[in-house]
Amino acid sequence: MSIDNAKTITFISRSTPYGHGRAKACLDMVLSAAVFEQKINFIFMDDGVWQLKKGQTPSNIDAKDLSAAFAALPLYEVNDLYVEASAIEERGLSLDELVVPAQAIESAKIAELISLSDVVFTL
Amino acid sequence: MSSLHTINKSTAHCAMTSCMKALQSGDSILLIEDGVYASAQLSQYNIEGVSIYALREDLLARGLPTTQLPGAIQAVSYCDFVDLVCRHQRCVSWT
Amino acid sequence: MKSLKLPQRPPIALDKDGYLRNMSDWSPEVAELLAAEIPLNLSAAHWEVIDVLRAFYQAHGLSPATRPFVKLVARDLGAEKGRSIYLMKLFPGNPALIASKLAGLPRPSNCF
Repeated sequence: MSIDNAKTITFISRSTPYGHGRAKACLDMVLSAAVFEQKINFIFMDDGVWQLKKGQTPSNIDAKDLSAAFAALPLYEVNDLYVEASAIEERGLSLDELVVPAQAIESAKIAELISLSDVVFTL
Repeated sequence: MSSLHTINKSTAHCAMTSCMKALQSGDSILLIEDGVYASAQLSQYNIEGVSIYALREDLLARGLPTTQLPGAIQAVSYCDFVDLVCRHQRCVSWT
Repeated sequence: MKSLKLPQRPPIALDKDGYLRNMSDWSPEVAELLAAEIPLNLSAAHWEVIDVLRAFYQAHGLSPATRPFVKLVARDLGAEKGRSIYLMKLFPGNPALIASKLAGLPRPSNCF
């Protein structure tokens, strides 16, 4: 089954993983959109890059491990994962500290991805 | 393929700086809710080819001026808000 | 509240759709009972799919909806089994929903 009029939907996740529902809500929206076979860009900006940090053990704070879900994204055919290069750098992170491979992009590329999208969600 | 970017947080949040990074020429910014507090700082950016608006009701509610705004920021009504949405291909809401 | 009754054990809480409220209540015996309500007789072919789902949930914390479910089975059990028709025969109706239920997973969201 394929949908001819699939839209390009860009999700920009900008929040830390715990303490609120924003990161989880964004992930849920991505998974839902993926089930409907839409073309998806998943961008992590600002504090959103913390979601991808390796070694999270949120069971310590009685929270579910959000980062475990990212490795399953290819099964949902979500393959375009991006991180904002400066957000990674400003937080002293590096790409090999992330739970999944993501493409580091400059802000101009984020602007370009937005301009090529039918719908953009930031959360 | 222009975008309308709405900002609804004051500069204590990174909504504005994040929005600045994602702009393209031809885009517009609309300040709403607490985003209208960002008008002074926003005017310091020189953003080529980007029009900036602020929602009049939100300015008035917060005791902020609706005329002679810093930079080239223009106060607009809710009807103009609708018009702006229609004139752009997509909306991006920075919160 | 719905529940599942096992001999000489406290009843197991189910949600309104018949899914386990607590994954820790799951056991092969519980799966058999859930299957009996459908009704479905669990064979080795069913169990290997249930095992794949449980391992996936353990690793990723997700109950897969139909499309990722089929892809998951193809990845872990081979292309022959990772097909809608095969899974439909094993779990008639909605394979992703039924298999998740038997595996003790929460109901997959966005799965109809």
